[in-house]
Amino acid sequence: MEHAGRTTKSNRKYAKGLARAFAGAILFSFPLMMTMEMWWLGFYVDRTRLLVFVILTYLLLIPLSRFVGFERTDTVLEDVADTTVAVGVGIITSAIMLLVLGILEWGMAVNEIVGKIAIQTVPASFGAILARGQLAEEEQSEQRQSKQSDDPAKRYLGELIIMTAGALFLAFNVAPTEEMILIAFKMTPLHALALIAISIGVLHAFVYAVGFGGEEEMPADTSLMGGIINYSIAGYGIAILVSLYVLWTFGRTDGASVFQIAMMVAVVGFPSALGAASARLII
Amino acid sequence: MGEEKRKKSSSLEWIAGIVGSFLTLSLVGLIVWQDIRQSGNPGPVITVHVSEVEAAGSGYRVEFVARNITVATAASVEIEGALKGVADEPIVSHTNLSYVPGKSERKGGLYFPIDPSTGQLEIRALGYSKP
Repeated sequence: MEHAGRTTKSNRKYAKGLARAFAGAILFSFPLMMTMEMWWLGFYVDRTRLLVFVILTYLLLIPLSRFVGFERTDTVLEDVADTTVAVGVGIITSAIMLLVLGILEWGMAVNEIVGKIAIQTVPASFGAILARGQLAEEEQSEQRQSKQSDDPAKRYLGELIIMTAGALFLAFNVAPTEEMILIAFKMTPLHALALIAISIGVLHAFVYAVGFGGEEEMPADTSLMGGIINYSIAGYGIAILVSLYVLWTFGRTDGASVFQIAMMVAVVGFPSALGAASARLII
Repeated sequence: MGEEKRKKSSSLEWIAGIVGSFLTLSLVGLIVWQDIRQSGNPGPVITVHVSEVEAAGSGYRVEFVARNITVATAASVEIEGALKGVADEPIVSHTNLSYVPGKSERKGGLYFPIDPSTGQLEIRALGYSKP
């Protein structure tokens, strides 16, 4: 009897977590569901790149689940299980929303429907995982704090993963739009250099304002230059890699010269840097 | 706070810092290099060449590659293909490329009702606008 009661209680708790995951999936993915470039990407994006993108997102969500998942987890297996559920929530949310918005229609090729849902699943799954960080009750947020590792190396790695997730999420939110390449074409190299400087500056400001890996750690034994290089420049390095990766996924780098790619990376690098910098705030 | 632990974290931090510095400097370097190359360069020059001719439906498809040989980007590039020598008037097809970025190429296709190899096919860029 007592056992049955406990199961009901934990089931209810899980159902609540699941409901939050759906809410998060909608919240984080609706801007992209209402972006027409995303619908087009659904049929023209290279299938191999799309598959790699979905798999990479899945792998990135696993460690993220530990920090912020919609349910408290203690083992890697639980993280994998929760990530799988989050992706499932993402797929269901994307399919329903795209259907309701009239973007999926009868008579469309299966390939196109699958592509459209798959690409929207990425931000929706992020939302499902992040749901807890954003929508959870206070008590759970406290538990999350205690989950962080005491080992500084592990902690730093965790920070890098969170930064990567933040960069990927924000870069992905703007990279599909035509405006990204249009801005790259409109900017002169001087504009691009200024944007890079601002990106790094914003990253550094966030790192100081929000604190990085615990407040006591950074200022204590790192010099100003060391702080900039180890935290802000490392973060901008992540932003560059993520931007390059997202641009490649969307086929923006195809046939483009290395200079054009550099300009586009500088443009997408700005939201990426913002994402990397603010990930600590969101997560 | 053990000394060991601090050292361990430092090495990882420095690797990330060095990789980040390398990437940032490369990006800045590329853009500065482009700036140097771009200085004193006039507008875009676009060359178009046929890459493939194939039967498509009731007609023929001519695929082309438009290459911008300068560093200046061209927007809404009008491409026209004229097939001469098969009728009194040349058969003209055209299309529009949203962008042909500097030192980059874009692909497209034109349709013709008859086999282009029976006449002379000329493809060229008609014009562009600044992005």
